[in-house]
Amino acid sequence: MTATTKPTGTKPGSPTLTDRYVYAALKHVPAQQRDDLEPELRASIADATDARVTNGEAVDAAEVAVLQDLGDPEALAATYADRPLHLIGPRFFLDYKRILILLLSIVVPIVTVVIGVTSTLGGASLGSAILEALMVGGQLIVHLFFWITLAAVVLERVAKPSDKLETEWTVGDLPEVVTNRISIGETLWSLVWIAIAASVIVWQQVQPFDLTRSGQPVPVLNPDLWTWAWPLILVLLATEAALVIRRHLAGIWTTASAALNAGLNAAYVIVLMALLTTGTLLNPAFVTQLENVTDPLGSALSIAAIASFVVLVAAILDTVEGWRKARRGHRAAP
Amino acid sequence: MLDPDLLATHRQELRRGTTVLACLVVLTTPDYGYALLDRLASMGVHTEANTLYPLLRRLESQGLLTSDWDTQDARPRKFYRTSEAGTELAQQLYADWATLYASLTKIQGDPRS
Repeated sequence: MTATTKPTGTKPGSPTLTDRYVYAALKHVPAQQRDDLEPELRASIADATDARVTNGEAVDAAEVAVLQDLGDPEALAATYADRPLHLIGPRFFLDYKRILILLLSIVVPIVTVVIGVTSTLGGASLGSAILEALMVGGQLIVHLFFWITLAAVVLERVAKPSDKLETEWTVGDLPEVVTNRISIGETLWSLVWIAIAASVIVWQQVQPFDLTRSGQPVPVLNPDLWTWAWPLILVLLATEAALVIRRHLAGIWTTASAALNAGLNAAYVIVLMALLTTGTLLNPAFVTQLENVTDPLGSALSIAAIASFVVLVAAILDTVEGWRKARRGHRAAP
Repeated sequence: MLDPDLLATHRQELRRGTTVLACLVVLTTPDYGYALLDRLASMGVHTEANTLYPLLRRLESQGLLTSDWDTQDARPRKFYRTSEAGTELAQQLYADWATLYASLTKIQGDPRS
C-alpha cells in the first residue's frame, strides 16, 4: 500500500479529484465538524483507492471509482449533518396541508367577496369590481401558498427531532361519515328560500314598502318588466322548487341534477345581467326617490350592482356545491 | 419470479437496523472507517461507504461509540470503539434479534402455532 493520495497525471499543486470532492462535501457541513471530518474523509477515500490499486487498478481509475461510489458530495454532507433532503417531511406535511386548505377555503372567498362589495360601493362598475375581486383573490392564493410553504420548509429545518406541531391524533378526531342522502332539512331550507324570493318579488309590487320614507310607496323592481322578466324569474323559481322536490324523492344528488342546478343558476345570472346592463332592473320612480334622499350619483346603480354581485357569487357557490354533492353521491353510491 | 427491485427494497428494509448492531458488536475491537467496511463485508454484512461513515459519526454523537485519532501512521485515522452504553445497547438489540429469530424459526416449523 504505497500509492499516494495524489494520483499521477495531475500537475503538482493543482487540486486532485479528491480535493475537489472533499471541498464540495465540506462546503455543506457545519464549520465545527469540518476539522474533524476532513482528515477522516480523506483517509477513507485514500484507503479505498489503495485497496483498488492493490487489486490491480490504475491509480486514476481507482480514485474515480471510489468517488463515484461515495456519490453526490452534497447528499453525503446532508447525511453527515443530519439535514433533510426534502422540503417538507412526513412530520409536518399533514399539518401543512390542513392549514393551507383551511386558510384557502376561508380567507380567499371572504376577501374576494369583501373586495367585490367594497369596490362596487366605491362606484366601480360590476365588471371591474368582479375583475378586481378575482385579481386580489388570485394574488392572495399565491401569497398564502408561498408563505405557508416557506414557513413549513423553515420549520422542517429548525425544529428539533422531537418537535411536533399538532397534539397527538386521537380517535376523537375521527370525522363523521358524510352521508350522501339529502336530508329533509336541506330540502326545506331550499324551499323556504325559494318561497321568500318569490314572495318578495310579488309583494314589493302588490304591497310596496316606503323604503325611502318619501310618503309614496313604490315598487323597487321595474314594473314594466312584468311583461317578461319577473314572470320568467317566478317560473325559474317554480322550476327550482320542482327540482328540489325531485332531488329529495331521488334521495341523492346525481350528475343530471347537478347539471340542471347549474343551468338554472346560469339562467338567473343571465336574466339579471341583461337587466343590469340595460339599466332596467330598478323602478325609475324608486330611483328618483332614492336620488332625492341620498347621494344622487351611482347609489341606485350600486344597489343594483351589489345585489347582482351577491347573486353571482351565490349562483357560483351553489353550482359548485351541487357538483360536489353529485360527485360524492356517485362515489358513495351502493 | 420475484421482481428484483421488490426484493432489493425489502432486503434493505430488513437489514437497515442490523448494520447498527453489527457495528456495535464488531467495534468492541477498535477500527477505522474503511477497515470496518472491509471487515463487515467479509462477515457478510454489506453496507455502502456513504451510509457507514455518517452512521459511525451519528453513533458517536449518541455516545454509543467513542473515537481516537491515531497519528502514528503517515495517514492519520480515526478509530472508533464501542462505548459502555454501546455495549449495553448491543446486548439489548441482540436479545431482541434472538427472540425474533426463535419466533420465526418456530413459526416456520409449524405455521399455526
